[in-house]
Amino acid sequence: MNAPGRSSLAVLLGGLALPLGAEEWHVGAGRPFTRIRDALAVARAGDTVTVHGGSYREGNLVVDRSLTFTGLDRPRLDGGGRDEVITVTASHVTIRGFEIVHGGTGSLHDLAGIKVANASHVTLEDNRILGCSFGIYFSKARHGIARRNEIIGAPAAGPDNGNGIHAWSSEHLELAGNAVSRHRDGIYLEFVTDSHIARNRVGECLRYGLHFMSAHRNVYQENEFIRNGAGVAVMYSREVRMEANRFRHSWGSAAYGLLLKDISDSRITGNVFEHNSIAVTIQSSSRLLLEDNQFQGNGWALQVESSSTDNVYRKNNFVGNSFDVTTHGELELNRFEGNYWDRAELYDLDRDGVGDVPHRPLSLFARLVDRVPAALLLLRSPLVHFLDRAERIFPTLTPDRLFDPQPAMRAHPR
Amino acid sequence: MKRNDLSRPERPAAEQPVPRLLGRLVLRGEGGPGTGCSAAVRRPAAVLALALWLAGCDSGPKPIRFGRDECAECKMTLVDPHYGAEHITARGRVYFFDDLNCLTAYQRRAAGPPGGAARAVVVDFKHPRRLLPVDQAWYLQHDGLRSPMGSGLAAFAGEADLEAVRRELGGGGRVLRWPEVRALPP
Repeated sequence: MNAPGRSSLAVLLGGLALPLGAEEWHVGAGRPFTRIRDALAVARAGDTVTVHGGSYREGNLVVDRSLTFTGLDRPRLDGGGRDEVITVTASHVTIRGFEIVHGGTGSLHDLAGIKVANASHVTLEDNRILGCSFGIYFSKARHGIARRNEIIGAPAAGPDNGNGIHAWSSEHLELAGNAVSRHRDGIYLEFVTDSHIARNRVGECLRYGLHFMSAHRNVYQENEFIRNGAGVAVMYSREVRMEANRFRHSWGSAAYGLLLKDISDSRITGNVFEHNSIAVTIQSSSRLLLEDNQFQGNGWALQVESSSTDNVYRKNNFVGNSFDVTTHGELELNRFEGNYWDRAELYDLDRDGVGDVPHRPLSLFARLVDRVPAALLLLRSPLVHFLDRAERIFPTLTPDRLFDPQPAMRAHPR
Repeated sequence: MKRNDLSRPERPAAEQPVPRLLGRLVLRGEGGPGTGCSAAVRRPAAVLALALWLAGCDSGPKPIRFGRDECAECKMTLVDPHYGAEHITARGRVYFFDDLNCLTAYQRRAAGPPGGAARAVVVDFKHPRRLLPVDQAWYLQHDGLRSPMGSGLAAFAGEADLEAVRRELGGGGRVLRWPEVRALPP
């Protein structure tokens, strides 16, 4: 195979995975290689290893050179329940088209379907990862891409069930168009910065659909989170943008669409929160903008802890929620502007589309339920209705500065 | 938190010392043991209510329901059965924590609770269903331990268990007892 000429070309091209002059190695029944391991051993940086359909059980496969590693007719890589299936330690690697099953588990070491460790520019696309402890795992990775992968965890939520896509201490990741279900957390990011998480569908995860801790300057767009144990949790992070996501069907006593805890300088815009026990709960968070969101059919739309300051809630629609806003404290320095509240009783004599009287979204009853949860039994009681109306006219127990001075007469178009 | 508590079912009646309680009730019945017994039979509803009420007064640690119970400090759902802790107030109220740094942060803030002396237990890393009193456990702090809130702390019943895990992690880390764990910076 013309080794000398080829290697000088490889030197010329450095680590770049250019197809020019690169070799393609075929693995499969009746091909030059029957074992993937052997092809990976001879391939050089810039080459392609193409695996043809079939089932391969070779333990842990390590990709330690800049390769394109492709499956044709979706070959199945079986970890035998013992090993991590693929470990990538080189930069400029692309892995696509595999079905990865039966990865190992470890209580002390996180084993994944595909792990990328200390590498940059690794692309994982169009793989199916089934029943692995962790699906895709980025550890100290930069410029990694995971797109259009389907990741389904174990049917039973055991202790070994890790996260669908797990990223730790990484930056500039692109996680897009993946479908993740039945893992601990669908997508988990810790110490991950400057990343883009878009168009993923995450459902039926044990804990959170999306969970990130100490992950700054990340953008989350057009993801859908449905029927995850406790919803989505965004914790200890700043400069986060969450745009046009859908948070649906997080039901349960401690479940919410979105938990914001210790978040600052972030924007939550254009999202839809539908049928959650609590759509958004905000704790110790400041300088947030919640704008153009739709809160529909939730138990509580907004639950704001008093330690949250300098937040603005603007032009959101509150429709069909049992409670629109609840809080323990005064919520000073939280501003409500131009929201649509379906339960507001307004008039608009000058017909400018803005109510002529302010709306107080925190009902007396919401306050009461917050202190005495059992009072929820009286939700539909006429007495409660009467008390709420009296309180709106003469606020005594609810914070008198918590109101929307310019409530919208009609729902904002979405 | 509170809402969560309401929806939490009590421990199964079988775990409660109900027969003994019933016995005591009988002895205290009006006019002596004999009539007391018939009183108890006559008012089964009252007895049942009392038994349920007493069942609610149980003050021991509760088994952690991973995937359902929520950390009282960081609000995360507990999912990793190798880690977790409980703070039990003198009145028997149980708070769950997913990581030891959440427990110590909570205890620092809630120092000197009006309810009097509290107890705390921690999950045994080697035997996840077992709960150890915090002041009897041995602790390993190690970068290789991926505890939910990043404390890197795991608890063990004895030094032998701890050393076995430490070896598996390739050595390193440090061994702590409860006073040192409690004094770790937040």
